Amino acid sequence: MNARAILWLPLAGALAAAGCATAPEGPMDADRAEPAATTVEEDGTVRHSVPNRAVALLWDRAERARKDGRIEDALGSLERALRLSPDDPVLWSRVAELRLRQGEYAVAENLAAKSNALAGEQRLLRYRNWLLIAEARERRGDPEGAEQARAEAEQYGGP
Amino acid sequence: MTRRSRSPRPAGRAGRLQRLRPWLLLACGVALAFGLASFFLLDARVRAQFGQTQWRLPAHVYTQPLELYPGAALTPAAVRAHLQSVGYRAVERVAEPGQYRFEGARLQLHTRAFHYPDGPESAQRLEVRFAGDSIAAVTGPRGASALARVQPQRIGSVFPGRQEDRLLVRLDEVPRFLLEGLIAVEDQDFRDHAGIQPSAVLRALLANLRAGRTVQGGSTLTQQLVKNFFLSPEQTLGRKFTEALMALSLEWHYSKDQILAAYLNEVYLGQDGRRSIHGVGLGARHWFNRPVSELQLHEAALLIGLIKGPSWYHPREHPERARDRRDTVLRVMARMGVVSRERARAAMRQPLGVVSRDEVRLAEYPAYLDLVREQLGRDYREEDLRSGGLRVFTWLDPRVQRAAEAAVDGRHGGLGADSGLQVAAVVAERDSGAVLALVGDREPRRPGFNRALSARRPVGSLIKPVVYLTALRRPDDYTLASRVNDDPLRVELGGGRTWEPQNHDDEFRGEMLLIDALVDSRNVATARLGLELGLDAVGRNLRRLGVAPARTLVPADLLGSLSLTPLQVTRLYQTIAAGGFDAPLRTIAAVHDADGGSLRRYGLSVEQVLPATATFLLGHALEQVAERGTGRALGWLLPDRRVAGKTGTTNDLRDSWFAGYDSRHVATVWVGRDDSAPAGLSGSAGALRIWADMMRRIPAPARPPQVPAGITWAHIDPVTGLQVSRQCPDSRRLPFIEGSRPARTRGCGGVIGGKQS
Repeated sequence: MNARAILWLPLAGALAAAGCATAPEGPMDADRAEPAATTVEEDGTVRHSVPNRAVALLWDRAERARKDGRIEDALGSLERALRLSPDDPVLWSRVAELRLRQGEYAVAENLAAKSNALAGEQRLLRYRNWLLIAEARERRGDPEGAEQARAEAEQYGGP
Repeated sequence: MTRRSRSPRPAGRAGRLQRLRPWLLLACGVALAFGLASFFLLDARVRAQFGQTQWRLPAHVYTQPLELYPGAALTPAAVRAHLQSVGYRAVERVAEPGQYRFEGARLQLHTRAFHYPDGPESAQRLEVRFAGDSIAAVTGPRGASALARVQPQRIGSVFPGRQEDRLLVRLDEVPRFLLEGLIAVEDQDFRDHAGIQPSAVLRALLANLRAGRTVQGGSTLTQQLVKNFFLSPEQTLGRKFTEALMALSLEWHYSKDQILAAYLNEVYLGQDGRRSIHGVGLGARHWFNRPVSELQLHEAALLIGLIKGPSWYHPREHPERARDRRDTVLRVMARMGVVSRERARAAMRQPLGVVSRDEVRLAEYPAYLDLVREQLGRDYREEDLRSGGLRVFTWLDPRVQRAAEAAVDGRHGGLGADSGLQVAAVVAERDSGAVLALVGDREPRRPGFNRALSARRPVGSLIKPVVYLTALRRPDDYTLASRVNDDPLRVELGGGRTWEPQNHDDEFRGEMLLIDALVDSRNVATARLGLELGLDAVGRNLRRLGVAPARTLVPADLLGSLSLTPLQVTRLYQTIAAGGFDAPLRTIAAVHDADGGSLRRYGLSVEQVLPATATFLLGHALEQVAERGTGRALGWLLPDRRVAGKTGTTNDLRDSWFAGYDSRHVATVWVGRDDSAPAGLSGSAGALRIWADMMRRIPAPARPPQVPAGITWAHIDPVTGLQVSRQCPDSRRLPFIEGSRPARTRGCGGVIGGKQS
């Protein structure tokens, strides 16, 4: 249990940094009157640029559910967001994290890999995903694989 | 007492009676015991059946909801079509849920509450602004951005056949005038009686005697409910007695509200083919295409009137009769004080308001539902699906389904006039594997042989990407710029047999780049490459892509003598399209029980089965197929669209295939004949045209695929495959897995082509 608690901390930090590193994508709608579609957590750390307001609203909703421990609800919102924006690597990464929490280690590992495939130059998001993969492998009883994943993570630096 | 007073009677009879007495007592006792036993049995049955799952409800199957969000590629016409399909009304002033109004590129909309797979959502007022062919903004009441969707369409049953259907309603959803009107017309003393009403029976009896036939029922609502719920329709005295006992029992155990709610959900209100319409929830939907909560007075009155005889008062077939009946109900309602006389009179001036049958007929998507049934069958028993009242949310997208159906429709050019040609089509979401549309017959609404799922046909060149993928997974040995050989090939098969593949143009092109051999679909070069790699290696990659061949591969399989269904082909291409991540092709998003409780959410799940890098190289080649290769017609059929894919044609033009993808979808089309006679169409002539027509109707952003880590680019001489300067006129920019870039050459390399600069 302790190991898990320790893990979430760097992950949260990594996500914060990764989100900041995301090149903001201009809103796809012509509605210039609205502010850029970004979401910010209360503590001001996690920043995730998204293509439109609907994804931003769904992200907020998922975050609220996640913090309340309603994992299935959070997943529902995130998957709905992914249907609007299937190339968004941060969404895939968050889904991976929640599936890891549910104990779906193999699924989580694959989702994190999917996030990596879409992550482009977002080094910190990659870092975070490799940590997720390392954790998933650790829990599946694959310490060697976990070690390899951690080595991959190091390649992308830390927070 | 009676017996005692009878005792001083003449001895002869008395003696006989004396002897009979034990028998009489026994008979009375038996009768009493029997009566009591049957009462308790009936009572137990009432409690057991009424208390538990009350209704046999077929599984209700839904399409996807319509998501409204900025950037969504939705035209006003597409949104209007969806609103109409779920019974929303165009009005002058939007005031209530279920109403909308278009003003040019603006849509005022009041959505209805709906229980979505991820939870209930209340009604909300929205404004949607369109810009061209997409949505620009969606705002809520205070101008804030809103998250919005419109309820999904309910579609046909997974188990079609004779069945009772209903949409359960709660008492608080039913307008007061419908409840009170029902009581006023059918059972004025409902609130007070104990289940039966002898005075009403007597009154009915007299009336019937006077008329010489049955003119009045005299049954209370409770008795009617008992009759419909527990008993068969025959009318005998014994049956009446049982009915009365059960009505008493029902009233004893349950509240008036429970009985009323049950009545409202049970009552028979019409017939739609083999589906019988029960309950006011479905009745309101069937006759007026509205939820019961939105019924207006004149509609509610007609619904009440229909109870007496849904076929006799059939509003579409006998509008006059229905109108008379409705007005009678309204008069009773006014007389009993349910509504004022003025309101009743105003309601009488209204038209019947019944919608056409086409508007409320459940859309049938037999091919899609075949796959839903198959996938539901893995987790649910047939009995639960037939009567358990499950709510099944699918990924079916009616717009995409319509696009696929329109594209295969001969009248639009798809198959032309050749009635012997058959067709199948599958469209899925590229990354999630959600199946959006399925066509299994040239007449898509015709149930029967489902070619998308069941027709196993040789795939021809569709298989070639697997051969090239096998090569590209060995970056030390093969790259897109490797040289392959298209000279004649002769393979000894053993037993004195040989195999000599031919190219479709009967030419041999000698040495060429690996990418060009795929782009131009060269058979001989592909066969030679495949044999070099080994059939086992190709077979392993085929299995990774979700296709398990039934036998070991033979050389001819490299050119697609292997038979697959269109669904299998779609799965294979989905993995390639999604960068090596296999997502099971799924139709079901979630299943809820009848009360809206979530039984199961079928979450997103992918599995990386191929390295992202090699898959990216293959994807690049498949884009080239669409740009300049065998699929180049897509360049003008789908201008401004970024697509990739592969044609497939089998010997003598028996099967015509196209499988491909864009930034959002993966889709497969097959055209051929059921008896495998030549169809006379190559992949690029038959299936590709339909594929393009279908994709043209389903927009997707023209985004380039994400380049995975570990890819570098280089300019390549098209003849030698060597790296040259980007200034060289014929050079091509190709992706390579890091560390596999070919050697650099001085100048522009093209010694053979003589294009040195």
